[in-house]
Amino acid sequence: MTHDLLAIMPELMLIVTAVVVLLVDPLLPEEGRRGLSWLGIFACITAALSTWFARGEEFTAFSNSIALDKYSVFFKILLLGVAALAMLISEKHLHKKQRLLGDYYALILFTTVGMIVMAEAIDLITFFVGLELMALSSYLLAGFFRYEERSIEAAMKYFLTGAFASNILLFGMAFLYGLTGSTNYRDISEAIRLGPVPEGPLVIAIVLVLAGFAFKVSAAPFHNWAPDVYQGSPTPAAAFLSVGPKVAGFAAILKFFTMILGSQSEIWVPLMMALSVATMVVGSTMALVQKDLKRMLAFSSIGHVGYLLLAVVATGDSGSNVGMSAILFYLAAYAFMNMGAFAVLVHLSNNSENFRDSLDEIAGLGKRFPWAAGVMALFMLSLTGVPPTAGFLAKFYLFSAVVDAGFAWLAVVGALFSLVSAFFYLRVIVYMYMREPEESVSEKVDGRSWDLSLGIGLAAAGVVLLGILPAPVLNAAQDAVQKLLGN
Amino acid sequence: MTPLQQYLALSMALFFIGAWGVLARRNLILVVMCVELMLNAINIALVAFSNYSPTGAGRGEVFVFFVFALAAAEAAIGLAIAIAMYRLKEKLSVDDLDEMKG
Repeated sequence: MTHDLLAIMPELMLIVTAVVVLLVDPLLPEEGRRGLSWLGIFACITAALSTWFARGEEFTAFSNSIALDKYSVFFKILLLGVAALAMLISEKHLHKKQRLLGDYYALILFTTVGMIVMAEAIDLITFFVGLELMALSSYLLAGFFRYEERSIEAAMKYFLTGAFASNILLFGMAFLYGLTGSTNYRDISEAIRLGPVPEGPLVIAIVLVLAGFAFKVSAAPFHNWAPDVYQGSPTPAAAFLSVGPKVAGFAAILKFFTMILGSQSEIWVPLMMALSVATMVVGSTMALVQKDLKRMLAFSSIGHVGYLLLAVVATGDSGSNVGMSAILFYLAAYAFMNMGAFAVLVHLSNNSENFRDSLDEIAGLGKRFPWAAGVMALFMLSLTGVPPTAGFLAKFYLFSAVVDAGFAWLAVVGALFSLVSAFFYLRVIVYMYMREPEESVSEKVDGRSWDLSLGIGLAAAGVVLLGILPAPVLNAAQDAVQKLLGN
Repeated sequence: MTPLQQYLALSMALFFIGAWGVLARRNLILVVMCVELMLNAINIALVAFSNYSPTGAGRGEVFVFFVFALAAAEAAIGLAIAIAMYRLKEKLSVDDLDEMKG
């Protein structure tokens, strides 16, 4: 029992901190609340450190409900980093837009716990509880500016599509349980492999699970909610929501489709391939016509989901773990560059009178905000995949894994769409440096905040470091996936 | 004894009625109710599976309790968002979610 509690030490830390934040928040004066973000960041760092120092031990806890292995260590540290970064970039923005409330940090911490549980679960019930903890908290994060119509609309849309998707996924999981008589990933995998499992219900289960996950990570044709939700949410929350749930979603997708359904790849590989190509097409082409930067980034993130699904296809078909480690590395790179790009928007919004996140407003940004424009250009280059940034190596590993798995044509399709995506990423740079600012450009106000600058700096450092020194993260990713396929 | 297929047919029928309601209903309260209907349809399937499973008996019932708890939390959050929306717009229809075009 104590063993079990030690296993979830990082989660316990986050939950205790979140409850403390909720309890202390009403007692604090307005100014004192600013310290709450640091309490949350401190909790994330402590949890990440405790995860790191316990990384050597591999065991399962709570009667085979969660697995503590290198895979969950990788995702825990990545997700805790994302959460800490999200809190770092939020404070000033919340303060500017609305009375500062500690609930926001508590919600980020609860979402993070849910995401971590999703990544480490090896039992359907545990996984489902983690998924819902993440989902329910993130609906509230989307609607955090509850006096703004857009924010509430984003929350409502997120809630409706998210709940619908969870139900579909849950129905699929109920079928998996019914077919195999177990909720444990390994037992289900054994039962499916040894058979006999009736074909029809198994196909239904796979289709439902795949559709549910596609909703959750916003893969086409289930992507419609993403642009609206990211546009309407508070920008720092959008930064968090566009990264965290996707990372956790892919952690779970990899476990579901390689551990549980690895033996049934001939059923799900064609489906996922179609999903992946559709997602790349929608993500790259729709982003071309967006005038709103947050919507553009939303479609760009849909495009990235398409590339990631490509690597899941490669893994499922070849059973090699090269594709999986490429996915893990890609997720780490994606977390830095996407959060960074949103964080620059947060910075611009803090420093302008009335910033509406539109493309026209960043014209001439190179002169008005030289630093912000510089890092934005870095993030855009990384999202395009230009060396020597993290985005380049991530795409390189991903596409070479896809080629190795024998899907050269898919890799070509992926590379073509990433060429298309270069157009709208580089357009941002062109606007920033080669256009004169518009007449109606909003007034500059002083909204400097050193923790936001620190957050942007950390994201930029991450993008550059992963681009020139990928070895530590890449090795960690390779170690993480080694055991996953063996079982 | 009623065969498993009949329970599953009932469960699927309720699930699709719920799904249809989520997609077709305009009033947000009714949409939230349809989401709950979908969850209860899944509960029927889980209990039926649990009852007929030779090895996994009991697990399905445990699963159902977790689904209950989550359904309650989900309803609370869905209605909270609906109340926030009503205060802001004085309307509660899916068609009023039109500030941003998706």
